[in-house]
Amino acid sequence: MNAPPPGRLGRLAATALAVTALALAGCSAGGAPAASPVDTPSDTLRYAAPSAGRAATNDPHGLLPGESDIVRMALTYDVLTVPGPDGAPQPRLATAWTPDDTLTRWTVTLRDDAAFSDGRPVTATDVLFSLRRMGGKAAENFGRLAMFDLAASSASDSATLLLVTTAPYAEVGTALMGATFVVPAATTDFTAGLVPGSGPFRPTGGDAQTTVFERNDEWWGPPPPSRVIEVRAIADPAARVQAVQSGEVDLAGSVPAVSVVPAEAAGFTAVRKPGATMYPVVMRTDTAPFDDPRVREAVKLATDRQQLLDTVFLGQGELGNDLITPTDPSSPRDLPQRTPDLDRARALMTEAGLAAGVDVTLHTTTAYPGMDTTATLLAQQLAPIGIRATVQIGPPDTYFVDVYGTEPFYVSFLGGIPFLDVVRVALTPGSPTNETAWADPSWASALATALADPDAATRGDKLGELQARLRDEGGYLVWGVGDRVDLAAPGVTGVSSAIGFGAGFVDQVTPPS
Amino acid sequence: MTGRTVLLGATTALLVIVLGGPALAGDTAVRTVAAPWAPPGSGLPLGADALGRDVLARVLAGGRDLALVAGGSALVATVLGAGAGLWTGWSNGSVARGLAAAADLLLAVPLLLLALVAAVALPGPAAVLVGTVLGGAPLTLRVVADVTQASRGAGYVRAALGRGEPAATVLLREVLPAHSALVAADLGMRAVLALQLAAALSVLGFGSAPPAPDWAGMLRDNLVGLPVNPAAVLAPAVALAVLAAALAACARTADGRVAR
Amino acid sequence: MSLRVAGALLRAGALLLAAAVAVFAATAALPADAIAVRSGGRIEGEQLAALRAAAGLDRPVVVRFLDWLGGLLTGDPGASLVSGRPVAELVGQRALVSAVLVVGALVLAVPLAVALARSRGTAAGVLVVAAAALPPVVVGVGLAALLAGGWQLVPPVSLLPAGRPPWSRPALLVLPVLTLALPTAAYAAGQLRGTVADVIARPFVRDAELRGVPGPAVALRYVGPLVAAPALRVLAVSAGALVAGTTVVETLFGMSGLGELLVAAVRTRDVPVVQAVALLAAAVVVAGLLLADLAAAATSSGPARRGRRA
Repeated sequence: MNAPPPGRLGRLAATALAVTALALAGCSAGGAPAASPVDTPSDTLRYAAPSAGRAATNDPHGLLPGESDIVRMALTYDVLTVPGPDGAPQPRLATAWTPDDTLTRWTVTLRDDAAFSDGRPVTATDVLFSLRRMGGKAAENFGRLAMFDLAASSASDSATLLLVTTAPYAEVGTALMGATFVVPAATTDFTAGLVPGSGPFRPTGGDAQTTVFERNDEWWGPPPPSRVIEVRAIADPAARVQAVQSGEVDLAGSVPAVSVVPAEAAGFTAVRKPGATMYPVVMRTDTAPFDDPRVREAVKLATDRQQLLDTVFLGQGELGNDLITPTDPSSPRDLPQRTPDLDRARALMTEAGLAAGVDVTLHTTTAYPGMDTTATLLAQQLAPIGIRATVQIGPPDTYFVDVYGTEPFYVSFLGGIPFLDVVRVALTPGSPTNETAWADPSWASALATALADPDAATRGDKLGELQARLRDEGGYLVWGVGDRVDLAAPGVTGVSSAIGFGAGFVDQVTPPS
Repeated sequence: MTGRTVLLGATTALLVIVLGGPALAGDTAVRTVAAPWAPPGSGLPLGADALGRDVLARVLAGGRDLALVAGGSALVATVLGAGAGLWTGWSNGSVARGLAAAADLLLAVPLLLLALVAAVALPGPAAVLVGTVLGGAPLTLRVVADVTQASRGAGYVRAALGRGEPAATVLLREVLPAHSALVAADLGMRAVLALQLAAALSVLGFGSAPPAPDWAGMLRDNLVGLPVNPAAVLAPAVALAVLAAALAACARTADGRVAR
Repeated sequence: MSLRVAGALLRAGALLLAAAVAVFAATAALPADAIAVRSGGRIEGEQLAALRAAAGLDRPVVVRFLDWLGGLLTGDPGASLVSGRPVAELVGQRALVSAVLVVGALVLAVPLAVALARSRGTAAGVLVVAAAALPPVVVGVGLAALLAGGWQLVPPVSLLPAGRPPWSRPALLVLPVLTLALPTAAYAAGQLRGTVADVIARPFVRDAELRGVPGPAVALRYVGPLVAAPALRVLAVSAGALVAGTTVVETLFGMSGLGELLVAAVRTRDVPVVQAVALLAAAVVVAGLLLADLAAAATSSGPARRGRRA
């Protein structure tokens, strides 16, 4: 055991250490954090992806808690279809999907030039195995494939799949836009690492936070511009911004609105994706006071949407018109924008017998930036019409267990998924996540009719009507739609403009030169 | 000692401001009055935060609940720890030895883990209380047990026992007051521990509920706006630092261990 | 002598076991378990019960604990309840990062604490306790604002390069290590100042100095043995606090270490992972306390009879 050196030497030692630490910092950083301090080869893209703050998962069919998991899967595996720039499904592994007259038996044609990393070709058997596995894990993936009868589906030959739906379902292409990652048939162990895939990249290593991918030169699709992609999962949005600005990464996904202007001023490129983030407020239509449609309408009329947009998204987005999926191709575009009308709202409250006001609890959480702000501001806005809302912030980890789908009045989250996805998750009577307790039988039968319509144009109109009815009668207050902004270092191009599931595809991004 | 008086005086003044802050700030601490992240300027000496609220008002109002929770947690921890310590140092029975062993055990288990577990299950203030008790009471127990054991042979204790006073009375009315400075110092350090726990839990995402202003919560919420309005995060940081440092300094001077 | 050593070892083992029990009990008492959190209320009734049974969560707490303990003693700390990945792999990936932070902080803190512990005067004393009282968040934010924001010496986040050891980019370690080291040094110094001053004031030390024994020899042979045990004890507690403190620092600076794993595991009720990380931290503290006990035993036959507790 060494005893402490006498006083003077001790002080000198401490000072020397401090100076050394700072000098080291100066040497390594080169004094200019904005320049990339590491020698990264020019064909490498370093991407900071939003993560859910949990350890990465290796199971593509289970719960994918964060976007970083989706990105890793999308690089390693092929999916059947992807969302295009307009939201309509584009072929990927599936080149065509044609129905029979009943719209229940679909022939899906697959590419014949896709192969897994161990050389085996991708066949319909592999696809069917993957889909069935997804069906088996419905509880974890929100029942993505609930519309299919996978037991009755079969692989006709190595490149053709026969998919059977439980009811006439015209939008199978859209349904397959989910996380239909294809793995080799009969794979059982998904815990040891990412199993072989047929996608544009192959995982080659990494650590707890970062996964390193190398380009798969045998991939059938357009050659990816990057040879190596490093996907770094970072949960804190501010940390992602700092990572790009200090040169540690080349691209950061989903940065906070407040960081955009200073970053653009510093020379970084902001890639905007409209319609990506919504914090709709849920009112349960079977619980007082929101079981009265006049109260729901009063809430929609009392909301100052512009103030919410300016505060929560700093104006970076668009006013919401209570349409649950405004960027969906079938969403009606010609409805008048709802504006605040406090007098009418008060009149409706009086008609509903609540002239004296009512006390409610508005739940929210901090899972996504701005959810708590939304609740605080909305509570202020509803006070003048007699709705005395107490804001209660729940912890983010149990929010989607305890509050989501249970409480009568809370702030929810939607991330740019298609209308039919929302229908399947939240608008089907009897589903555990039917958060507004929506159970209108005429609406449900109109939905079934729309899905059985083989003509795309009339089907789109019918789906649009359904969304318009939901706007007026439903329990969702959609006050605004925020832009998603990705931050790119100079020289990075090719960032996809897709939202929702499509945002997870980064294989066509060019690294900085 | 003059320096000590100045220190105590300054800390008292600080506590008065902290506890009276909400009254000074009024409701400007919770209302939106400007654009989000407005820089310091007309009417807003420290600018605005993420919701456009006055940062100065929120800093004035944001210490009270924190101070009350910290003070309350410290009080509970010290009372429990001192009580157990008095008994442990006095009796030599197996239960007393078991208590001392339990205190050792609690010191070995990482405090932040226990606080995290508590924070997941309980609301913020309760988690801080549980964490402070679990992390601080064992230390108090150790310290008080040491001095109690040492004073068993002291003159005034033997005299009191000779007068026929029961052990509990001796402990509470003779031993404890004799070491009141030590216990007071301990109380101060527990309050500091509680403040640190509250700040740590807040930054990890388990915090207080808005819209009530809270320094620890402001650190977490306004960190993202550091490049735009640094005052929004630096002001509550400084406030927290000053309060913690003042409490610690007072605690240390109370038991006279600082001056040499 | 060897009896004391055996006793100290036994005590350390018992402490570790008791810590494991305490942590398991605490996590098991939390509302909702891993399956409930993962399924988010989307499954109920029989399906939920079946999943629980598959994960072994329907067995009594004692059985689950003994099962885990048995696995640990045979070298298998189990698998994550959330992702199924082996706990050893999850911990191993991140242990190096946290270890580098803790060791780096200790390397900086020990000499700093020594220098501060030897300082005299009220002002220095007040400074030391004030510095120790600062919450790590505040220290981190302040250092980041100064070193990264104002002077731009280091990046504000510490994203370590993949595939290379953490020390390959020292600049990234400056902020987290300083944030950990400064309060720790101040705390250790505050704890030891009294002891060090007392020992130096002892007659036999003064006597040695007056006799002309050189400074380093005085420190080594006279002061050292008396300060060894309490200093090691403070070091052990500091190391334990550091391991926990990495949680906040890793969150602030975006590093992927054990702290981040612990928070996520508590959130998702991933009991095997929580157990592993907590036990690791407790082991660090217990090892330090053991060293302190051994040092006390070794030095009690030196010039002083009593080893004073810090």
